[in-house]
Amino acid sequence: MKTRTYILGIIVTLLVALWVYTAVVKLGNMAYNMDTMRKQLFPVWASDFLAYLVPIGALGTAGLLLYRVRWGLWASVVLLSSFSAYIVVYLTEIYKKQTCSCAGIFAGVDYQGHLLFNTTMLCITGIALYINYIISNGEAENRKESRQQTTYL
Amino acid sequence: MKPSEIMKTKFNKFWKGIAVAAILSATAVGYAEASKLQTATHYNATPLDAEDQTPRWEPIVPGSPQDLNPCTSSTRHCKAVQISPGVYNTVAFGYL
Repeated sequence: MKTRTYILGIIVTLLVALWVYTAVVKLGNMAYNMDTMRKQLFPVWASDFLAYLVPIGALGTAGLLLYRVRWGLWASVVLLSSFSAYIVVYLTEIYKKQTCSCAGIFAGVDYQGHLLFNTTMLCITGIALYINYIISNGEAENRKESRQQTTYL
Repeated sequence: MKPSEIMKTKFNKFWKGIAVAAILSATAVGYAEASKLQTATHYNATPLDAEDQTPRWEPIVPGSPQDLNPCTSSTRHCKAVQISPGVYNTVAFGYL
């Protein structure tokens, strides 16, 4: 039980760090962020909207992870899946090639590397969701048991 | 306080400390990386089959293929930022 909690804690911390880093890199240099976002396949109005939505969404997800772990994990799944889907669209060349609007250190990584990273983080998030489910169910059963015992008393 | 309650409180304080440390570290690293990011102003126009591969920097026209396309994996100087006349700082490596 303690091991599971530690694993969950480590994964949640990792995700919080990832989302805070992503948000800070984008918000810390909005000029670069807007420029690279406008070079993506979206229209200008959508690019400007996404330039703010992505980092704010990342910060929101980090906040959820701290206060509502299950919601934060599901938000992480949504974000990671969206980014992965976008990379797949790029790799399959459905649209013309565009410059990657990637965060800091990841700017040196190619699209395949990004996809691998996202997929790995998605699997790790899935593991965290499973552990959280087991822990939550265990607590629920304990509460039910203690209520039954109280009833019998 | 019961031992289980002490454990609960200590455990929570431990994870709060870890979370704060992670957030502060991520913020510091993120901000440092953000400050380094620069939009390229020039691209390497030297032909791939040229004998002399010294970069020949040409200005990037906004909206041109050199502006929109990424540099794919390679050690070749690809895109740069002009710091002063004749002085360039390479910001991207690869093939364009």
